[in-house]
Amino acid sequence: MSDKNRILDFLKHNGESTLESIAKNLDININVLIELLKNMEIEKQVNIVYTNALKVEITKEGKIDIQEGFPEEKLLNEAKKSKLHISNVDSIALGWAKRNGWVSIIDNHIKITEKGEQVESVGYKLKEVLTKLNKENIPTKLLSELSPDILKILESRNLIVIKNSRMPDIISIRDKSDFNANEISQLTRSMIKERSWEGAQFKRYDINAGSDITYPARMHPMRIFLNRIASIWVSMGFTEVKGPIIEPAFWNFDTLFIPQDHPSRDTQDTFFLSNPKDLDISDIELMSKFKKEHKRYWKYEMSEKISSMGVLRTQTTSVSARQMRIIGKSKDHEYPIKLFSIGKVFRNESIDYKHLAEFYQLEGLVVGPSLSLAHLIWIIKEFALNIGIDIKIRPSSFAFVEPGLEVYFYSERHKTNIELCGGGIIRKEITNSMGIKKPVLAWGMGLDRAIMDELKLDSITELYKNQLGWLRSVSDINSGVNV
Amino acid sequence: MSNVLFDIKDFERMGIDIKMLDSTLTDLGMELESIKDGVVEISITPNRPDMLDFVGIIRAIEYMHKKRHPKENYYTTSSQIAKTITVSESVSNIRPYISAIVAKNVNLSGSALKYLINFTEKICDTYGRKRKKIAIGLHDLNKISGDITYDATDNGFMIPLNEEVKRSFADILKSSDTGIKYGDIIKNKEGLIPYLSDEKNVIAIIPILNSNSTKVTSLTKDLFVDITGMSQDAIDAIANILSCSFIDMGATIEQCKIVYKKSNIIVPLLKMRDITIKRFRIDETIGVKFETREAISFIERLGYNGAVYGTSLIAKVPPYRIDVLNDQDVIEDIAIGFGYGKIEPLKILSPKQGLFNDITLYTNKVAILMVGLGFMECSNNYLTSENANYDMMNITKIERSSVVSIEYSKSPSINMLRTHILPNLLQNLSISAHEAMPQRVFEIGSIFMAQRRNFKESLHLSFVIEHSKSNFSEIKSNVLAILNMLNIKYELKTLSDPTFIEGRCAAIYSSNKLIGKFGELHPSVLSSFSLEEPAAGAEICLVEDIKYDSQHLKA
Repeated sequence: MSDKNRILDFLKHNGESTLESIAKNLDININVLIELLKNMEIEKQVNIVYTNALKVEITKEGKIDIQEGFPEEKLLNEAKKSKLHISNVDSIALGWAKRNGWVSIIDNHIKITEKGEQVESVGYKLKEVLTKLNKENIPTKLLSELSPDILKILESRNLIVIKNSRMPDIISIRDKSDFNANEISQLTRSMIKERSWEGAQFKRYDINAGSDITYPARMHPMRIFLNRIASIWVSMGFTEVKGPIIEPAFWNFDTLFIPQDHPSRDTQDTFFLSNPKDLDISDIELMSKFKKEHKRYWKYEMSEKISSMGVLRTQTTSVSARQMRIIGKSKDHEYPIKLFSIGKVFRNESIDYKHLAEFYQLEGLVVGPSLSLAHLIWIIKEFALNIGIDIKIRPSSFAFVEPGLEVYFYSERHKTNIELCGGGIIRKEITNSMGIKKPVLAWGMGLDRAIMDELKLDSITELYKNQLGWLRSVSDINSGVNV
Repeated sequence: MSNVLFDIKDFERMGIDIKMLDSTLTDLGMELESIKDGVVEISITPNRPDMLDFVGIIRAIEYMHKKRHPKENYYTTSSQIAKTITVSESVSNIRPYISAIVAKNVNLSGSALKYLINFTEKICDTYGRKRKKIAIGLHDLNKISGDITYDATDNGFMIPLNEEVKRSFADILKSSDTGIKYGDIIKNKEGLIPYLSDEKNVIAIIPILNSNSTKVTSLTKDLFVDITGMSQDAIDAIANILSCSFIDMGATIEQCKIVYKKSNIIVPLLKMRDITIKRFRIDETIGVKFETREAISFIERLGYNGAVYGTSLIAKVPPYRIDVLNDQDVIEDIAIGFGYGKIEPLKILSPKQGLFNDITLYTNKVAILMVGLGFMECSNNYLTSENANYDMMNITKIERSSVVSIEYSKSPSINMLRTHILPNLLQNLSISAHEAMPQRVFEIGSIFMAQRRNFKESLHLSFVIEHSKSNFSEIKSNVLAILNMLNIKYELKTLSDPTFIEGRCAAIYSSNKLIGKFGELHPSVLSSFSLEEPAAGAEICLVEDIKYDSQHLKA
């Protein structure tokens, strides 16, 4: 029996029923039931008496507090660990901790009260209610059972938004006499086949009555965005290449002329692997060439042990380095060679809503005779034109290029200059070692900021959380097209 | 990038307003980061340690605006040897090298002393790798008696800076901030601690702390500077930068003699270096045609002197430009002197068409198929934890040798790279629990396995269906649909897998090779992810062991 028939059956036997009783007896999810009933109302199978109900939505801040704990809870934990001076703590957190009677202030220092000590075992009512609201879609009636005071507090702290919405309250089966036997509601296969609709009336539907929500299935916004960026480069005659995210430090750092004692090679910034701890480097010849260059330029002895340490690449420039070697080792190229690469890079960050440990970068490379800074500027200008950005150029410095440049633009959204990319002409020390005698232009850019702007996101974590409600609603259709 | 702070007033006193400061710094490749409470924050690229100093920035700005014209041999020393420093054998295994400067008639009034101290600390922090490579000590020359010895001992005493009582070296290392911070740099088996002393007192523990006896104040007129480190070249370079700053502060530089066991050297040697650049290299690199004379006028804006030599240009590099090693570096400065903004873009002509990478094309095709089957695409991180990847999936047997694991992570939720995608999707459903059912999600992406001194990356497809009536037959029909569309010949075999309900999961074989699995997820797995509705999932390997080396240039 379909759910609709089960509902009709239930109503036939039990008469007028509440939303909750139907849901409970038939074991149908409240939200699903509401949609079904609205549908049945359109089809004139049931009568619904609506009531104005409160609907609670958890705000972004609320979700953060659920995940990370309330500020006053964090304060309490810190106060348990060490003696805190009141000037060193968040005043809002302190206010709430005091109001809850968890702490008192003695000599400008925070002292945990007996009540505060018990929080861990007793629990924090505010958070419990918020978590409950987040987990369950609580029907109106139950909502009023939750302490209204607590709801008020949560609302005043901007952790929830309480909205009025129309909810089915009492449902009854529609009287048979309401039906006009000659009116057709759902057109059926047999009606079409037997042409029984001829001469009959089609029941008129209320076009403003509610209907089911249909959710799209779609590609992830990141894929759509990366495809768009890749298409621009391909249309400019660039070929897409890829490379591994796991690299020996040699390809990620040494070949890019970053000395082995450079701070960016610290475990504080780079993910080193404990397994496989070291990676094989097959190109022994290249290694000895770079050893010489590091010695000549940076005046130290490059260690093979450090070169072979496994890392998660910190920049897609490692892909460019590998491509340069492939180009340098083979012959008979048709110049210019134009390549680009898009991929993930990794940084050892403490993750929060602003910082991620992995993100996307784009990297470009052109090899050919007599290529200059002016050519590099042309390439980047062409790309920027394609994404609608008016760029400016200034000098900059990266270990592997000379001369180097930085490209920036003025962002209306952020009211400030924003870096688009960095680049330059790869140092001769590198290209010579790779076996390339021609100039190599290279540039790289982060993509996460650009997609944030495109989707008008405030937090980048949203993009990788894959919250279905967000994926179902986020739209990038308007951007980039002026219809 | 390193950021340095200066008072706006000091720039204004030099006739430089904020607007001029901002635009000139941009032209030089530096950045005015912020202005707050009368203090400007400037970010300096790592190739220009000379610009970490107020004097260095003023110098660069004045040259750029031609308020000052570079003079050959302006930065020079008097021929007098002011101090002799004898280096003992015992430092050779701890911190072998020292360089030194005597600067007379330095004006340290106003902000000058503060800026000088900030400058030396910034250099030690960045270029000096937190004093490991380079450390600098400033002393009042007139409080030093006689010549200097650089030695090491396990039994020394000194009155630390800003204190009054003599304490043992060991005590100072243990209790002072810098001792705690930098003590490890000089750790050695013998427990020797390097120090500098004059004929009466210890004047510094190297590279930790100075003594109070040679303390520098804003009234100090003459300076003695010690620079110690692990390479003579590196510390001599820094001695050059500092000397040029002192000269621009009005001082005269006198030299010091360093007496090593095997040889003696004189420092600092302020010499201009000549770099010869072929004319065509300039045009070719920048993409603008210049007369050699013009090119010379551009590097003069960067503080060089220049001369024409046949079809070449000779650039005379000032001693503070320790980053300039060959023609590439000079050409960049010619471009800066010309102005990056004035370089006219040059079109690259090439008839070749661009191509997408095979992996991009393939994953796009699969994604379109999955969307067509009604699945929402997710995009998750590669980094994960053993808990999420294994424990929550009921997997207890873990082959640790095949896990790509992270040595140290700042985030507790990260310690490895994922070996499958399914747990990511379950996590996505978990945070979407209150969204309307049914839920159908998928992801195409890489997974990673460790091998001996190597690793394997494979391309996987995973998808999950969650709703009150999801079951084996529904996931199976979707699996078969995608396998057929992808032209994968398959055979299904029974599978026993703790992630799935026993008897309701299957292994997918292709050419006798296990390529995937699917089934109804075990209720205990659903509970781990707080999923309250039944769910069925699949994981299929699309490309095993991606080899990027074999990629060829098709264009």
